[in-house]
Amino acid sequence: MTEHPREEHDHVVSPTIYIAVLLTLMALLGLTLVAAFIDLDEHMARIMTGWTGRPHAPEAMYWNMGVALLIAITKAGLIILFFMHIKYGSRLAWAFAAAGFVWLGILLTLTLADYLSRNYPPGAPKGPPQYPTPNLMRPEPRPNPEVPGASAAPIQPGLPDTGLSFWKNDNA
Amino acid sequence: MSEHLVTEIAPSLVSPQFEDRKQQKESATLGMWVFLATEVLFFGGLFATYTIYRHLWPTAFRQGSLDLKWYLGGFNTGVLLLSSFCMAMAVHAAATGSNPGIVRWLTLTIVVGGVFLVIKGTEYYIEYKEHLVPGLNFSTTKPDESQVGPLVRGLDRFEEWFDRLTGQEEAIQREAPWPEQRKPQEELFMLFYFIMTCIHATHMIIGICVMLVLIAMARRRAFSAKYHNPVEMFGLYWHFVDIVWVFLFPTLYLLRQP
Repeated sequence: MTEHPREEHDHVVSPTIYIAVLLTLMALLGLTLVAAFIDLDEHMARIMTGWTGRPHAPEAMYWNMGVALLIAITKAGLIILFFMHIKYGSRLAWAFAAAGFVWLGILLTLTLADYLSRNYPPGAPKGPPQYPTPNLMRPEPRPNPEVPGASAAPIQPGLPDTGLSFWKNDNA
Repeated sequence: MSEHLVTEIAPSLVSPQFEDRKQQKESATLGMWVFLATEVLFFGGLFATYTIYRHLWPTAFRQGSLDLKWYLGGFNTGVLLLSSFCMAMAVHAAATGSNPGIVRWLTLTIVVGGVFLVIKGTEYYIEYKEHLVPGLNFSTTKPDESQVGPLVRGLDRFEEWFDRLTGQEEAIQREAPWPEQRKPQEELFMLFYFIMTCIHATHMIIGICVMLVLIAMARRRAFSAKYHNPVEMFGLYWHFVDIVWVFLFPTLYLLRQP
């Protein structure tokens, strides 16, 4: 099992490490399930601002999403490092493995920088640009070209408007 | 001189375009990671779109998530992690040059992956019964208890019991009187759910086919401690499919909090 100077052997990872990683992954799975059943926003609001009101936190802070995502990233990291042997790989392999995720990070950051910041700050005067975005769920009825003179059916009241309504809870 | 000697003893181990075994393996690893990078972006685009629409319709997406069975999804996550472990052990068997070990662990990986697919199929059946399949039978009215069949009824009983046990029922009631009507945008959530999980399951089915080929090769003793690149590279693919599910599970199943 000693390394021969000329004929280099592959790094053989011990099964003990695999078992330890599997148990850690299972523990993290349990943790993410427990965290999903706790309203972390409410608890964090209480801890950080002493807020005690109900029915729910004044503003969504996405603590649950953040924790779930953090655990998922940890799990993915463990799988990549140990199961996929990147920990024992060359620097080039590190770079290649990171490349996909770096580009994914760019994709998500630039896309969400647009979508999450529209109509921000919430109190600002309504100004341009407000791009009309088609509502994919309920497209506006168009006039029927087959029947001359036939007008489109009126849009029913109470349905969601066609603009993007960020920062507006659809609970309302 | 010595390099030539090694090549002569085992001519099939190193392809002519490579200097040595190490370089050949490095090339295979990099190539596989390039492929996986395209896969990361393929699934990443879906995740980005999902995030945008979830931001647009938070309540509808949350209701959609509550219509999924988190316990089946959670159990499936454990099953898939276990199959990833079996795959890692298959690669370990390959690295120690044991062809019977490869056959054993790959068979186990297929069996555990098969359990995942069976549970996934059961979930699809449940969603069909609950009128949640977009385009096919999605309905904003939840079906009556008499229509959904014994399996769904049983699971509903379990959920009610569990919610009462953990005080979730109160939390849900506190937020809003829970509507019997679904929001129309929930169909969009279910569309994302079906597309993402179907593509993931397709990856698994392809993986199982490749594993059957690898098993056939291992039975012919095609691998050794010095050459087992196919097993190791396939391992990367299988672990990647596992990683995709690790992200799919919390994004689809665990949007319980307002």
